[in-house]
Amino acid sequence: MPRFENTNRKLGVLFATLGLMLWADTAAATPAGTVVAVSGSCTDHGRVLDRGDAVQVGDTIDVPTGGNLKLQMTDRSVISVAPDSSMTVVGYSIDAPSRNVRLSLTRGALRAQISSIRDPSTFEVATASGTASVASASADWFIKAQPDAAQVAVLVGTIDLRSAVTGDSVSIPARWGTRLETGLDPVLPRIWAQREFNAVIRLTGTNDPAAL
Amino acid sequence: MKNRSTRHRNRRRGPPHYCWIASVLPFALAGLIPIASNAYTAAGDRNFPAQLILPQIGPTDALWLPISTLPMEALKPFDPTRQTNFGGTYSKLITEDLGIELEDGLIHRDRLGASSVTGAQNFRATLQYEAMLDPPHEFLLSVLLEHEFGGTGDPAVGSEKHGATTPGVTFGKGLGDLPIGYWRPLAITGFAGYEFGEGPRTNTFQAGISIQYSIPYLVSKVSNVNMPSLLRGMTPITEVFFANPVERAPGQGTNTTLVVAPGVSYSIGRGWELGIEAMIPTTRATGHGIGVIAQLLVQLDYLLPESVIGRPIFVPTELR
Repeated sequence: MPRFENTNRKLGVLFATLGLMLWADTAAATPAGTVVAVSGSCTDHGRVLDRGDAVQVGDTIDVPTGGNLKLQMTDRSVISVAPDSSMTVVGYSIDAPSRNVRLSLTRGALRAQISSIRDPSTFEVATASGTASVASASADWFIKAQPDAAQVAVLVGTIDLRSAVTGDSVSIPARWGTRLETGLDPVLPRIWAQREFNAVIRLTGTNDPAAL
Repeated sequence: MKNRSTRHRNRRRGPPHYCWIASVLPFALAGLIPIASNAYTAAGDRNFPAQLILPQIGPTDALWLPISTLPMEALKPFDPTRQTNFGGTYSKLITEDLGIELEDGLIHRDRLGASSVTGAQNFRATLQYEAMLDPPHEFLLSVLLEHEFGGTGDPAVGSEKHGATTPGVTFGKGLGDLPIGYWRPLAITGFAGYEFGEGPRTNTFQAGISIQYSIPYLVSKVSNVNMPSLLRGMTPITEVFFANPVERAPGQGTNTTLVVAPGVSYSIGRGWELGIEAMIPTTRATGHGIGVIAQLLVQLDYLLPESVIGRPIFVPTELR
């Protein structure tokens, strides 16, 4: 009997530990979105992504040269990641009716089509040069992270771009864009020509026929 | 563009007719000022601020409101002692590269020994096409065709009875692509045009140049210079406007007008811009005393980007 009691106790501790691990894992794996289109070997921490795969808070997504990825987020926003990009989902909290989103773009470009939300929310994309944040209820915009600069262009809505070093910011309305060089103030925004928008739309478009 | 040049002899020795013309010339110059107002354009990361004396260097969706005042030399009763202009120009893009400007305004004259008088200036319309845009080299070039509708203003304030048409070219060039360190914020803009007068109105060659040093460009493209936020939006600028009548009466002296306008423009990229400049006449024909011009630019394409007011009437095919 003592032997069985000892075994039962060990099993109890084991199951409790496993349960705790499962609970903790579930809590940490906050869903952020789902892959709806992919081309090329896009990976999440080395795991090759396929259509239907979930993306969670904390995931770092790498899109290779020639690849594309489109994510449908939990708030119905759509993130399209361009070739040769690396993006981390730092936070994606949808506590209806508010939203708190923070993405980090280490390199490459993305298009963010942000769903409309009434209540105060934050939707930010951070780069080494500075942070771009949505300043309107909804938006459709692009951000490109380069080694020494970031570039933002806005198709719909308004985006604020703040320098990480100087703290100075500019507000970019629809059809406008600007550039931010590391360590400096943002350049004053200017109108973007349609051909410039067409170029970034093509860059962040997906080649996955199923997404069309 | 605003110069309504007329022939004249030395004011003090010439016949009465020429004396009258000479006295009109400064008003003609003052009348030019509102038209010379400019809009906001960019080439790459270079934003050229609105100019106050020279024509705009590119078409845009904007509204600009200049006000200027210029002292006059009154020789006899009823001669103006000061002219003040209140102008307004609406600029509308038809396509991304082609725009039209409509300009009108009021002229107020204080007179020697008489009550002041206020009247309209002639209505003007300008078509402008951006023919070249080279963002990496911060260069743009436009061609324009301006027409002043004669007789649409009030002759009592010097508005011409006869109109004029001016084909011209404008350009802007930033020096940011050159390896010149702290000189990279420098930019040059220019204008050249030929005014064909209707009827007896004299044809005139016109030209201008501006030199500007953009502090917004300095702190966003060159170096994080520590300075007050007010200064970070300023662009010191000097404009020079030159006009010379092409035809001249026998024995007539030069009617060349040359105005130097040093000043400053202020913009923080929020859809508006303020500019103020002194107007310094440098020839006898140009005027008498130092004037001032100030201008508010409202960028409709920034403030109303998704309405027809703030975007071209015809836009290229959009991808989605």
